Formats: sequence, C-alpha cells, structure tokens
Amino acid sequence: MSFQDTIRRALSALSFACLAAGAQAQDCEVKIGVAGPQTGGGSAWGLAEKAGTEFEAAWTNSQGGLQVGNRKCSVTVVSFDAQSTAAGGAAASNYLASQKVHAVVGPIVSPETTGFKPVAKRNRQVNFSSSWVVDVISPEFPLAFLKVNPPQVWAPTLVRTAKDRFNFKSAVVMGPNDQGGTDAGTVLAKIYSDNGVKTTTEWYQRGTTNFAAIVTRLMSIAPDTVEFAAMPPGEAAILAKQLLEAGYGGAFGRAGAGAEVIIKNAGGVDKLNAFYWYDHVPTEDPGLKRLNADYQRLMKAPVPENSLVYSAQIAAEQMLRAIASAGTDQDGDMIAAALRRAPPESRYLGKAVWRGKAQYGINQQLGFPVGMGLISNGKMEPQRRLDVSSE
Amino acid sequence: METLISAGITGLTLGTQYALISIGFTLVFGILGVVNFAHGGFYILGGYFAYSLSHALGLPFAVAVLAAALVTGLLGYLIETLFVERFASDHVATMLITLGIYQIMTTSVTVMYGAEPVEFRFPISGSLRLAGMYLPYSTLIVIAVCTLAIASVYWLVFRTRYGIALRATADDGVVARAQGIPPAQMFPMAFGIATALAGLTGALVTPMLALEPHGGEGVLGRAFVIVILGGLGSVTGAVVAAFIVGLVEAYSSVYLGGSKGALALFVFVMLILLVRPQGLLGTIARKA
Amino acid sequence: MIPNRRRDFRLDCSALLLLLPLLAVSFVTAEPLFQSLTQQVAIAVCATMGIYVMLRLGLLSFAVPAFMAIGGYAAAMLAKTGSANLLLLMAASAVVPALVAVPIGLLVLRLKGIYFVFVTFIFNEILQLLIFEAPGLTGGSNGIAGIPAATIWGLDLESASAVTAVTVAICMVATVLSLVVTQRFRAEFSAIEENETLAESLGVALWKYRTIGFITSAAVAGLAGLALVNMLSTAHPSSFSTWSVNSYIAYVFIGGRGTMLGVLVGSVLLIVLTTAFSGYAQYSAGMFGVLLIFVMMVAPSGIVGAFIRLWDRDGSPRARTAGQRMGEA
Repeated sequence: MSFQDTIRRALSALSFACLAAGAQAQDCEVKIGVAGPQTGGGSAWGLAEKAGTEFEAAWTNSQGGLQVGNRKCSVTVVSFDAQSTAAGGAAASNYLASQKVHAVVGPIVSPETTGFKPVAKRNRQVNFSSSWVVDVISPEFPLAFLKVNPPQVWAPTLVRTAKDRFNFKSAVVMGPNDQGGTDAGTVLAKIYSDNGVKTTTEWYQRGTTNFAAIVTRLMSIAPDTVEFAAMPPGEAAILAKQLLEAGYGGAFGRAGAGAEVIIKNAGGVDKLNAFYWYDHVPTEDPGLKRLNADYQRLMKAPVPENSLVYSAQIAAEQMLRAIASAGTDQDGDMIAAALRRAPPESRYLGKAVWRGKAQYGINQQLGFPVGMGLISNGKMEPQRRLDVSSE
Repeated sequence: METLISAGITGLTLGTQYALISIGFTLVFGILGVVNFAHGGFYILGGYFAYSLSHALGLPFAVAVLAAALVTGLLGYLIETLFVERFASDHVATMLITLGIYQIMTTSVTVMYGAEPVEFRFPISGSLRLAGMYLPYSTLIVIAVCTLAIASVYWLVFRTRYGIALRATADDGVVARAQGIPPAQMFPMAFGIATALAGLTGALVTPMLALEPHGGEGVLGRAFVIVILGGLGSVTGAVVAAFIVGLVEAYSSVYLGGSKGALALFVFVMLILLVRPQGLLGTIARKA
Repeated sequence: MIPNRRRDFRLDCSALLLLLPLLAVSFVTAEPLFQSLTQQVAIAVCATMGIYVMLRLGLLSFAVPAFMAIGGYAAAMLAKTGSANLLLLMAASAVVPALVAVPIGLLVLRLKGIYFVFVTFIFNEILQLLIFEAPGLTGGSNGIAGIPAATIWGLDLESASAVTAVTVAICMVATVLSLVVTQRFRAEFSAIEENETLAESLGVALWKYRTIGFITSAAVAGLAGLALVNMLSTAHPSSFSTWSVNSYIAYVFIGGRGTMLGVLVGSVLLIVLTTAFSGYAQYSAGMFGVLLIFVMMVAPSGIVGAFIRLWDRDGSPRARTAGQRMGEA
C-alpha cells in the first residue's frame, strides 16, 4: 500500500469517528426552564424572558451544544405560564420539576416569586428571578438568585444625576395597588426622600387605562417630577401622554425598564422636556448590538423590545455555564455552588460581580452594568453605562 | 377651582365613553338576555381594526374609525347568528360562549400584533388653553363624537319603527312575536349595533390612551357596574348611570387618589343598589 | 334531560367516592407534578362546589373568590398568631365566611338572576380593595407570608404528600357539606330553581332556602381558601381575583352543571389540559376559548350531562318524553 493510500484510509477512518462522535451530541440533553407571565397584563415581560432564554439555547446549540463532561449536549427550554399569581408560581415549580428541570429563568412578577420560592426549595431548583420584592433572595433560600439590579443599587445615582440636571425638589411616585406596584413604589419613594426630595406615593386601581382624573390630581399636587417605575410600561405610557397633554412641565422618571414604550407613546423624543430612566442593561452598548445581530440571525425575528430579554439571556448563559461546570443539570445544589464559584460573565457585556450581601444577606444578585438615559429639552443624550461594583 | 372643573370635564369625558359601551351592553341584555363577556374584545378589536386601516392602508383617521365600527358590527352580527342565537335563553351558556370568544380575540390580537402596545396616534394633538386649564383637542373630539353617537342610538331606539320593534322584543318577547316581529331579525341586528358601538368607542379612545391586547379587560367590569346601576335593559338608565359613574370616578380619583377612589365608587354603587335594587331606571325584575 | 333524583344522588355520591383515589395519590407517588395537579384539582373542586351549591338555586355567584379570601385570610391570621391545628383552621375558614354571608346575603339575595351576578362581582372588587387598604391586618399587596404548616395530633403536615393529603381532605369535607345541604333541601332548591313565583305560592320560603344556600356556598368557598393558602404557605391577594371565578364557572359548566360529578370531571379535565398546554401559553388562552365554545354549543349540559343523555336515549320509554329543565336543552 502506498503512503497516499494509508493517509487516505486514516483520514476516512478519522472522519467516520468524528461523525460518530458528533452524533453522540444528540443523545445527551440539558434542560432549562422559563417561568413567567405569558398571558395577561405581564405578558410583554414573560414573552421577552422566554425569547431571551430560547435564544441562548439556540446559540449554544449552534455551537454544537453544551460541553458537559466529555460530551456535547443539546439544550432544550421548557416554559410555563405562571400567570402573575402566587398559585401560578407554585404550579410552575412543580411542573418544571416533573419535566426534570432544575435550572429556571424566572419568575418575573412578585406574586409569582412569592409562590415559587418555597416549592422550588423543596424541588431543589435553582432560579433567577426579576422581581423587587424585599425577600426575593435570602439566606433561607440558597438556590434563589436575582438576575437584575434592584433599585437600591442604581437608583440613588440615577436620582442624584437627574436631580442635579433637572433641579427637582418634590416628587410623586405612582404605582398600581398590587404587589408589583408597592414593591417598587415604596423602595423608590424612600430613595427619593433619602436624596432630599419631598416625595409622596399615589396608588391607583390596577388595570386603569384612562388616567385623566389622576392627571388632574397630579396637576393640583404639582410635583417637580413624576416617577413611573412601579407602573407597567403600557400604563406609564398613557399617564405620560396625558400629563403632557394637560400641560405638565415637570420631569418624568422611569427608574425601571420600559422607557422606550413611554417615549413612543408620548410621540417621540422631541415631545419630552425632561426624562430620565434606567434600563436593566446598557442597551446601546456595542456588545448588545452584537446580541441583537446574533438574535436576528438565529431566531429569524427581531429581538423583542422589552429589555428583560437581555437579562434573561445573561441569566441563561450563567446557568448553562454552571451546569457545564457542575457536570449535571439535575442537581440544584451543585449548579448553585458552580454559580457562586466564579464571577458572572457575559460574552456580550464582559465580566461582572456578585452582590447582595448588604441588602439581602446573600451574594446572589447579578451585578452587570446598567444603562441610564436622559432626554433634555427634546434631545436624547448618549446612553450612560453605569458599572455596578461589588460591595 | 380649576381642579374642580377639570375633574368635572374628565367625568363628562368618561361618561360619554362609558355610555357608548354600556348602551350596547344593556341592549344586548335587554333584548337577547345575553351577558356579552366579549364586549371588551369588540372594544379592543375596534381599536386594532382602526389602527390597521389607518396605518397599513393609510386611510384618514375618521374613515378608519367608522370602518372599524362597521367591521365590529358585522363581526358581532356574524357571531350572534353563528354562536349565540341558539342559546339566547340560557344565560350562562351564552356567558361562557362569549367568554370563549373573548379569549380567542385576545389571543389572535396578541399573535398578530404582539403583546406590547402599538403606536396608534390620534391625528390631532395639542390642547385648548382655557382659563388656566388644558383641554386636549382629542378629548373634545371624543366627547363630540360620542355624544353624536348616543344621540343617533336614541333616535334609532326611540324614533324609528325598527327601534320600537327592538324595545317591544326587549319588553316582552312572546307578545312581540305574536305581533309579527321576528326575533331572528331583531337579535343579530341588536347584537351588531351593540358591538359596533363598542368598536367605535375602542377606535376613538385607544389612540388617546394605548392600544394593547388587554386594554379591553376593564371595559366589561365598568359595563357591569353601570348597567346594573342604571337598570338592566334600560337604555336611558345606562346613559344616566354612565355619567354618574364617570363623575363619581373622576371626583373620587382626583380627591382621594385612584385606589381609594375606586373603593369609593364601588361602595357608592352598592349603597344605591341597597336602596333601589333594580337600579335607577330598572323595573322590578321578573326572573332576569 | 329527565330529572331523576335517585340517579343524581348516586352521581353526587360517586363524586365524593372518586375523591378517594385523589387522596391515594398523596401516598402512592412522590412525583411533584402529580402532587401539584392533585392539589390544584382538589382546590378547584372545593371552590367550584361553592358555585355549584348556588347553581342548585338557579343563581350564579361571583362572590366565591371573596369568600375564599375571607376564609383563607382568617385561617392565615389564626395560624400565624394562634394555633395551626388543622381542625381549628378548617372550622375558622368555614365559619368566618358563613358569618359574613349572613349580612351580605340580606343585601344581595333579594336580587334575581343577573343582578345577583353583577352585585356579587362588585362585592368581590370591594373586598380586594379593602385588602389593599388595610396592610396592617392583611399584609396589603404582599399578603401574609410564612404561614406555618397545619398540624394535627402533633404531626407537622409539611411535606408535599402531606399537603396533598390535607388539601384533598379539606375538599372532601367541603364536598360532604355540599352534598348534605343540596340533597337535604333538594326539593325546595329545585323548586326555586325552576320557578320562584310558583315555589313561593306552594309555600316555599324563598329567603330561608336562599340564605341556607348562600351560607353553605360561603363556607365551602372558605374551605377552598384555606386549602389554597395552606398549599402556598401564603395568603396572597392575587389568589382571589374577581376574574378567577371564570375558571370555576368553566369547570362546572364544562363538566356538567347538574351533578357534583360534573364539578369533578370539569376540574380534572381543564386543569390537566391547561398544564399540558402551558408551553404554548399565549395560544392556550385561545384554545381554552375554543373548548368553551365547543362544549357549550355541542353539549350545554356538560360532559356528564351529555353522557346522561346518551344513556337515557338508549334507555326506557320514559326517556323519550320531552322533559324540559332549565338550561338542560
């Protein structure tokens, strides 16, 4: 046999072996879960979260799968609609557990988190929540993580910057009369107060679509700024529009994601005089622009507008890396240990920190940079990226 | 002082919108005995139809609104004939059927337009400045159009032979039939008129507020309160109650805040019902 | 469909007996999904019994979530401050709503048909707002969290199977209560359901039986509230929203409004379906709607009712006479 023949034979044997090994990737499956409101008023959030997680799974699969031990495993996403209720959160945990899912992105809304946590503890599931309820993570629940920065982390900076720029002395914090409203509303009111702004809270009936009467009430109170963060984005947008029509000349704040809806509904950037807002992530960052491109390419659809899609992708990325490191997707304790071992890292936003000891008693909150936006006199300023430090 | 007047104007605005929604709801109940759980669905569909017509097809706003009202009316006519007609005597069956239709409507809208609010803008922006108060032009237009619509419904129901036939069917269906009024024609038309009114209100009001799949959810609850306050089946009652509810809601929200204001409104309605359980203009209900 | 007292009684009893296998689930399997589904079904059956009892009087009550809330919160407050003894909690969660039902009943039971529906709707809205405005008492929008698990005879009923067993047990108590009341007063209730004026002329005291029905409905709903609060270890306002009543109504009407077996069938079917389709949640609402329409149009007396009709059709000549009962076309 000539040398060429030997080489040819060796190469074909090698390629055959590689094909066989590639086929191996499919008989190993890693499952992650998504729990959030996919119907009802919170569905914009829930569907964005689902999209972010599914994108991360798709991206991992496009890279051949997740490297677990010496095998490449395909990633599957199982989702459950938790319907913004406590019972829905509990049902989500049990359903996902029955599907052998021990790593969950979600829940989002406070009632869901309240119902989910005790059941997930029993089912030994790791989760990344987005709600701002005071005990979203705590030492009693070692498998519970938080994927967004709570207001206490960035709101003081936001409020101080905005106060210096727009010079406001009084504020009204608006919120619906449910847990999502009171979580954010009470926290933000305190932050404004602590920064020397005379603040009151206004609770309105959840599901209100016409804020004309509230506008009249606000105009008679005449605050220098109105803070919208505790309101669902759609409702905040209506209130902003009606306030502008009524001749409100003060500032608007949205210390929570969803500013783009407000800007759109108000009629565009030029209609706004003074608006300051926060976003879970710096959406203008070149890293996230790359994410948008990847998303469009893989999912064949534009990325959802709601920025929870980015937080969900980041959380999913951390969980998959932890699963790979732990060598299993079935053991919540090992996944959690793997998460705690290494600082969080995103291939789009770079390295970050774990935080939360001071506020929650446990360092299980993702400290990725956040975005801050300002519109002044109808002109949008470049988005600022605020890096979040460790404590 | 401005606050007092502002609140009053808000109350009137709400009143006209609520009146349009409630007239349809009470008509359908009075004539067919049907509680239309899809009422909020027709409202939001009116908004989405008008949005598509004006944005995708570039039709002028007024035309889009009228067309949306017509389309929702037709849809209501169809739905009544296909789904509701046979079960008109069974209150709860029709409630569940219309509930099912509402779910299908919201799901379709979410699938077609997405869960986020869409950009549906009122064509005229800006406000009228009057004595230190701002009156958005959109509000004035909506008040005007709604009043016109209410007046037209009044003319239809109280001045035309058709309207008399409708009221006869509502009063006593058996006798009306004996007089030669065919329910098979009255029912779908009545339903269609009701849904057209809901669609018209949706098309007019959602550009002022926001257009999203769950925007119709509050409509049904408000309709319940107004219709029972006014007296089931009474068109005049619905209009009067709509204005009362609009004004009470506006004043209590302005002076007590939204959450306490809502509580005040419900307690107020309950108190009235204690004294007059059949509603303001309702007749003592035989088994409703 | 011909009313047949004996058959209906047997079907009602079969509903109670069929709860026993549900109880068995808690001992037989540790699989969390089955535990969860069983708990959800038991709570649903319990709450829907509240609707069912009023339906026997021909009234549709939207007050069930409100009485669930009253029962649930009462039990929560008792468990957190006093004792978590299961029997005590059950008594509290049944008695407190029943007591509240008396004055409320005086107000709302005068109303007929749809008026009753709308007023009970308003009552529910008022209760939700009161819960929010009294955070000192109810925890406001956060609810009351960290409720200790129920205990009985010294045993802590904390594990998932124990919770399932407790939930089904509460459901069985509620079912027995509903059975006893609806069967004991069957004649009077169905007379009122059929034609109130006629019943009154025959000497049936409307107010008395309506009140009995309303109080029973409230007690049963209160028990459902306890079961829900115990399952979640939290009394949360989101569990008792006004429109949650739509689900209970759907369970009893799709299952079959004539018997308690219908309540069980409807609850099991719809909860299993919702869970099976939860991955497609944004479409599941639409599919739920299609199912509602389909069942109500094809089989308005529900699944159990359809079975009975088919059974009757093959049966005796009696079945072939035209019997008209309200709503059973």
